Amino acid sequence: MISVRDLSFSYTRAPFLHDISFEVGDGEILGFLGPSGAGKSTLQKILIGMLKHYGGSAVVDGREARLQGGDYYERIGIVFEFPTLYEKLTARQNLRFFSSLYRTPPRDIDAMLEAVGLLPSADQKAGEYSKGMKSRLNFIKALLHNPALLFLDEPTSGLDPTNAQVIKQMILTERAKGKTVLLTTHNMQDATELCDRVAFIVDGELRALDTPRNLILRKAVSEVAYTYLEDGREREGVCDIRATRDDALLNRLIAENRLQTIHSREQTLGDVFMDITGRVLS
Amino acid sequence: MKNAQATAPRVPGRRLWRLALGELGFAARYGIIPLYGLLTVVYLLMLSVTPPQSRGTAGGVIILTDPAAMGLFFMGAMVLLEKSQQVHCALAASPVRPWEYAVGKAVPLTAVGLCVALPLAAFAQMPLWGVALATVLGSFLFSMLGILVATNSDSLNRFLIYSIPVEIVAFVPAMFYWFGSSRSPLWLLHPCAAALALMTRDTGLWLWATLSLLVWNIAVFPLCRRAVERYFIRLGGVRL
Repeated sequence: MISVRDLSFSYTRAPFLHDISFEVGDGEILGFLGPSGAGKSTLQKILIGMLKHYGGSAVVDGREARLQGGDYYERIGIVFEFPTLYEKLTARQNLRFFSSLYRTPPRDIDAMLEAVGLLPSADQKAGEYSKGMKSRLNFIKALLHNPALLFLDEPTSGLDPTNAQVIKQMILTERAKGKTVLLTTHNMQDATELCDRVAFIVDGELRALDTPRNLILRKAVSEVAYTYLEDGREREGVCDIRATRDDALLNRLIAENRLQTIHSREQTLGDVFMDITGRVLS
Repeated sequence: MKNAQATAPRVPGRRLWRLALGELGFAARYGIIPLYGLLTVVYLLMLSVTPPQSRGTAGGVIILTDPAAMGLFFMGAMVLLEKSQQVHCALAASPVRPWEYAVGKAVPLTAVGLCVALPLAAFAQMPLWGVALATVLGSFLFSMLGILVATNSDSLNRFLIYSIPVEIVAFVPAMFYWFGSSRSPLWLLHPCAAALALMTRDTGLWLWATLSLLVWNIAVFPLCRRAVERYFIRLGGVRL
């Protein structure tokens, strides 16, 4: 579906993206993870044809992204990281207007509104919506023409956990229908739950690309975390799982039966990201 | 890569029609249509107190500087309002072509302009066909110029500043033509003078005036399309 080779791009004379290569197969969810300004959204803009002056190659559906014509947009759905809605129009009018620009007959608008909990406020102006409601409306707007390829930039941004879960479930449902999804996020939890593979992007470079599981297992060593009481306050100790015999404090607490909790602590995708890139994601 | 649902056959102009209809709806919602309903009444009252022998002259000035030129005044507000709501990103990444965006904006304003101009022309006993031609071609041209200026302005203040030279170049020579004594055919090279010439009863000028306005429209249209295209590219963050 997507083949990117030695992609480079710059807004100024200084290179912004450099030597990025990856492939995305049909029906796959690939996540781009990275801090703000890392180049994730720029990469998405290249793939959707908004940025044409790039180096290397970015082929989507057999055609270079910069050469894609208007028909390309009939087949892709895009969620920008900000709402792109007419504020004077109601939610339903926004969906009707935008879907009318496509040749594909739209999906059932009321069913889509209901799926994201917006049916009761369908006739309310988008300008009166909260940030979370606008995000949900923005999301279903991208799905209305039933695109085969979805570009989602922070689709759960500004959503409460319940609504974020609804959106994530809808993304998985789209994948189950064979859609390909490119997800741009700095949310590790979303990436872990949704993505078949994740790509770490920092300072315009692709630092790692693999399944979340493989990335987590890349560093096999786990830690043991334990808690105990000291001077009436709960304290935590951590030691390498291979060094429990050498941890004097842990051994003393076991001997004195003072351990409150003890459990292994595997790495998270966030830990792996920090290990590989030296950066922390919020 | 195909959409899950069957794609409808390509119908020429369908998307343009939807854009124009949508734009007409926005014009109504943002009060442009009610405003021009009111202005039509005000202009008719003004013409009614004008001596009958001067109504044609006054009507020409009113039609040229307002219903025909409304595209120049309102395009800034319309484009910059959309910009503030970031809908241009959604449109730039949709099947909408830059020329469709421009024409979709110009057509409704031209239609509104025509609806205002014709009652005024009828009341002032001006030639309806000439006024209709002048309003349609003039309004389309002014809308294109409005889009050109608006897509290169990042605020309403800047739009107002940038549009002043366009207004001076458009209206001042036309007023010299309209109120002056010279009727040299060279005046018809100026689009607003050509529009005014179409509002006179001198049908001998109509062909050349229409041709002049058509040429101006044909010349400005690609510039406008290119301006929208460059504007859409700039939305990606690239400076051109």
